[in-house]
Amino acid sequence: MNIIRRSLSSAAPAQAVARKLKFTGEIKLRAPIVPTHQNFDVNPNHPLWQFFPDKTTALRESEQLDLESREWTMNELRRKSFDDLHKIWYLVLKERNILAREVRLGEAVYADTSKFIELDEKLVKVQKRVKNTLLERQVAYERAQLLQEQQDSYLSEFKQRFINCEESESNDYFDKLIRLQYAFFGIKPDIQDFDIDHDINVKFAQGLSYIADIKLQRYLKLNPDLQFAPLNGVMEELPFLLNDTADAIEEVKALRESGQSVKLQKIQVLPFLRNAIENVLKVVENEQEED
Amino acid sequence: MRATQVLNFQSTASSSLRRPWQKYKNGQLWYGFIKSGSKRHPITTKQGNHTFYKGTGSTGVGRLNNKGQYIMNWDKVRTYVVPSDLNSTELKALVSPNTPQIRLTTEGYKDGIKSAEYAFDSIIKFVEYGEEYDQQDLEKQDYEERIVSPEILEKESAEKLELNTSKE
Amino acid sequence: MSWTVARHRFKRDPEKYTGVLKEYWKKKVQGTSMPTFENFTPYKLPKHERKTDFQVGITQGDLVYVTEGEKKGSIAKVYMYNPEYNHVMISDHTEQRILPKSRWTEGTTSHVIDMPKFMPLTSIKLAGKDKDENGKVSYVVADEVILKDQYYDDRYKRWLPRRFVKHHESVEIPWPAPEEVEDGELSTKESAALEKTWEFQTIGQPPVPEDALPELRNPYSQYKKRTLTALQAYKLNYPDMPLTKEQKIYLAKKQEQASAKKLTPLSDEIKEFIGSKMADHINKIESEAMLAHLEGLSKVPNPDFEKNMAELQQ
Repeated sequence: MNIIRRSLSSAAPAQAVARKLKFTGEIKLRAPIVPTHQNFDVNPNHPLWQFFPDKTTALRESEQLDLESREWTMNELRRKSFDDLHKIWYLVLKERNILAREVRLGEAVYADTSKFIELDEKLVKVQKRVKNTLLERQVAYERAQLLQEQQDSYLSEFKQRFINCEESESNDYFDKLIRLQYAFFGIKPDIQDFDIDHDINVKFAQGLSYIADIKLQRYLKLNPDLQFAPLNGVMEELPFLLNDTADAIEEVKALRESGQSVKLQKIQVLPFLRNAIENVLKVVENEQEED
Repeated sequence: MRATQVLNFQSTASSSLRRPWQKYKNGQLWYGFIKSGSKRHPITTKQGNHTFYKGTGSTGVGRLNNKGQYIMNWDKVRTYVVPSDLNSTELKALVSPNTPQIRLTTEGYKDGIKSAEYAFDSIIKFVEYGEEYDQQDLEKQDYEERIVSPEILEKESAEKLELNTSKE
Repeated sequence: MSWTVARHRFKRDPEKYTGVLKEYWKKKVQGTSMPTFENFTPYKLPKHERKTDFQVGITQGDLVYVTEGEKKGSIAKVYMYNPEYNHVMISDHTEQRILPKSRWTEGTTSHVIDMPKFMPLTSIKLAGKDKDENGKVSYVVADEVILKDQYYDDRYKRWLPRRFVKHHESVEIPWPAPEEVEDGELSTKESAALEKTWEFQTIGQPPVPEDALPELRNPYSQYKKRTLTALQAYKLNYPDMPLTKEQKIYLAKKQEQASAKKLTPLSDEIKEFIGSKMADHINKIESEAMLAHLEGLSKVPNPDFEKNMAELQQ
């Protein structure tokens, strides 16, 4: 390894002369390659080509722009899911980036950029409307939180219907319960969709106690001989969410017998739930890997 | 111009000048074209002398250390979540001009789309009837989407029944 | 575009001037250009005042009756309505203008060109063709147009109001047939655009993640009314100055007098006295107009009367 010695600048040329270049004889000088775009070979799939809708020109003519299409209306955007709105936003953003590049270039060469700006204004409107639809949904959600009385009355009425429903209807009612737990408490039907950081909150806990209670009451109504003390806390309610009623009851019995069933304090409830559901997910993952 | 100490590569001091054609002082500023700003406008980043710094609020992604190096804090760096199927959707930035524009009318809800009662009624319908609980054939209705509160629907159906019975 | 800030920050914008200053500036600028370049573009409407053609009642393809200018009394066809200037471009109404070479399009050979004239809406009136039973064509010109009765127009593929002639609302001027338009490269197809992929399903989860809400709403907005809690309001307001002894004595005395004072209904004597005085005065009035006016006034119900009577009774 050569050691780089630091020396005064005035000494460098002298040193350069002193040390002979080893490859002088074999170098073939060639004409300098002028940096024009024709001398460059660019990969046709380079991601920066996304800024150029027409690879032959850097600046499109006003006639080549699509000025006929109209913006998305609020009613059309209201029917779209969050993912669809996300896609529309990015499609619009990409078009706006292309137009911004063309306008910047056009202004430098004194081209008429009025049509480009017209199209850009349409795209800006679409973006504003996307934001507005999301905000409308958020406002409706927030206002619905204030209808606590109506929610409670519906939940109690549903409970009565669920408990007293007939055999033939029970499947329907269980489907309704799954939808209800999502509609009122935000508990998703599939455990693997759970977002442990955000989904497990106070509403989740409330929903859990409601579901456990409602399922247990129905089971007790169908099997009146069974001796079962009322549920005590989240520990005993969780099995009712994850399993069928019969299995859940067995689990709870086992818990009670082993003495592990403890009524948790408020502050311990949510961490316990998060922990428990993480463990369940791990178990499910392992099972899937085995398969 | 004060030339920095040349340690590597360059053979003369003048070759490391910021503006190599400027070999003597002639009043040209180091930075910008004017040291003072317009007195009637707030100063921008392009005014001021070589010590004037004005940030734009765009990079809070790290910190300067005492050696003058900017250390990036990658936790603070902005990332954008781009949908993965952007190139394979049928959706585009705008809509075809031959697409009918839907008209939305609300009856029975004071705040219309944003009302709490509408949200609540919708989720009850979802619970009772499942997904796609509100199927309206827009073509038959002349592309008018009607959002009607249950009380008004009951009234309408009652009126229809009356009409039918009176016809019979 | 939103990123070109420096252009309008350091530039004079006479469009933002108001009143006398604007007029002064226009006059000043007019003197600098040739008369032929005067009024090249008319006054631009501010964005919040602009209306679409369906809101104004005139659109491309309509027939129009010209009420001002040289060709007053003729019927023309609308080429387009421009909401920026609130003007209309109609057929057969052009003026010769000088066009500098930088604005020439392909194929122009001379500097003088026939440009379509910007016609303000005040100089035209909406017209419609009417065919009699014999097939005789006549034109109906509407002084003013009323827009009401929404209906779905399949040609325009949207809901539009109908146009009626004001004061003759049986006469309808239908919207003209629009030109056929083709889809562009940025157009979503109808099936994809109208597809419903979302419905309200839950009030247990917010539709927008909490961390993303500040993107939609400015939490520090100065335009929103922010309510204070009682404690915050108490802390922000200074306490009242405690009353001095003299003030307290004064207020106590005042309250005594107020409680002592009571309104009593008028006795009959006083009522007759007031009535007679009023009667004397009114009987002296000879002008009939004045008497009629007083009659009318007396019939107008006074809302405070009942309030006062209720107070009196208390």
